[in-house]
Amino acid sequence: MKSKLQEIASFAYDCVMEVKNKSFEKDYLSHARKLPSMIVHNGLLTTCAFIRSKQNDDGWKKIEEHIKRYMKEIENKEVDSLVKFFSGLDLKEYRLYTRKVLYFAQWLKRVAEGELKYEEQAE
Amino acid sequence: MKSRLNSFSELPAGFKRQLSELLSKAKSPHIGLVFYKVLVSKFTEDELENGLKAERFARELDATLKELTDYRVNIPKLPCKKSFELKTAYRLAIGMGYPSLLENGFLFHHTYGIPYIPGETLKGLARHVLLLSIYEEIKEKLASTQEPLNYLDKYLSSTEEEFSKNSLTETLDRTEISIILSDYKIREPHRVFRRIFGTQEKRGEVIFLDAFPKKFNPQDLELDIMNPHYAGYYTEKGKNPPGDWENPVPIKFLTLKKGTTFVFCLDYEPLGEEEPELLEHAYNLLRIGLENLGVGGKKAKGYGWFEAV
Repeated sequence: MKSKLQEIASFAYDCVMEVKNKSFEKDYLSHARKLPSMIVHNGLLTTCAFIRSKQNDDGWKKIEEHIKRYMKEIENKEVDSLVKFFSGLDLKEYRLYTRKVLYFAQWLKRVAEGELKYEEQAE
Repeated sequence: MKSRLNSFSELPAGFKRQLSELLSKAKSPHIGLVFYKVLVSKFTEDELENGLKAERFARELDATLKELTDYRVNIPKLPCKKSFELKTAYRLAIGMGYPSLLENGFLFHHTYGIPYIPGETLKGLARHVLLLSIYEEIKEKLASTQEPLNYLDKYLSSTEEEFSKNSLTETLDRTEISIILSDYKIREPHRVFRRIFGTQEKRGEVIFLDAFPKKFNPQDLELDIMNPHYAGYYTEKGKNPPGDWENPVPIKFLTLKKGTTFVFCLDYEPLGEEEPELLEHAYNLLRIGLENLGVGGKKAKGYGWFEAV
């Protein structure tokens, strides 16, 4: 049997490995780095709305997809739109999900920093 | 008080209701909360779903700030040994690195919800001034080292043992240096440095407290704009020439207006004999830094500089 921590860590690992060696690897890493502090600072709902406004960026798009997949596979909630789902919640539940997604985001950051390469662009 | 913040017609369910309940109890809302978290509830679900537009967010923010006219918050007066006042000589943009919907954030005190300058920023600034001044004095000696400023920094905060072994200590003993951009002088600057700012083994003897504005109104916050015209040139790293046919990209950001008076406070950590001289040095270093180098973002454009009240 796996503990919750192992489950989330390995899920985050799978997410990051999917991005490895893709063209937007670098973007994904820099966004994943920012994600936890954005959730703490701006709130989960605002962060999701922010991600929606960055749909032309493949890195953000992938992060949104990963949060959705997290909701589905770990929380058993099929979510079409993160914004609709989080804004419809009761405050108590909203705070609970903030903590859960934040925890996941921290794992994403941790794994991404270990696995993805930040390439200095040659001039 | 009928505030824009209390009317949520758009967001669904419990979230909106509970938020407005909380806010209606507050006479003076926490501006930091408004800026980072609450304003988003002014948007409809569809607007959020389709991606927040920074432009609209900026308009809402501006209108909300203007409406908070009976805002009242008691600015704490910190008890300390030495305090002085300076006012901003131009706008202050602090905490721009924080993520926000406007792309650039702003620093609000976590509890009081007002803009402030953190003590560590001020300590770092004063430290930087003295570091540069010492460097100016002995730069020939440091010419052979790689990254001389880094080397000097490490030496000045090294352990007592390493410090006494280094030949720089002897050089600087019994010398008096003048502080950059001023005619203030400090004797034995390396020892003063270690006492004020601390070393790896020992904390500094002067405490730099957070600086708060003397008075604060939400109307003191102004939306500023930067307007890069050659976005293509910068993002493509110079592949295309910068041309006037490109469209300017307006980016709004929040600033504190010019002429806001801040109260800066220094205190003495009683580790040994108290020396008023040390406080005086720290005061002068900090003041020189504030008036000549500034704090916060966009310093090169004159933001964050201070002048005498």
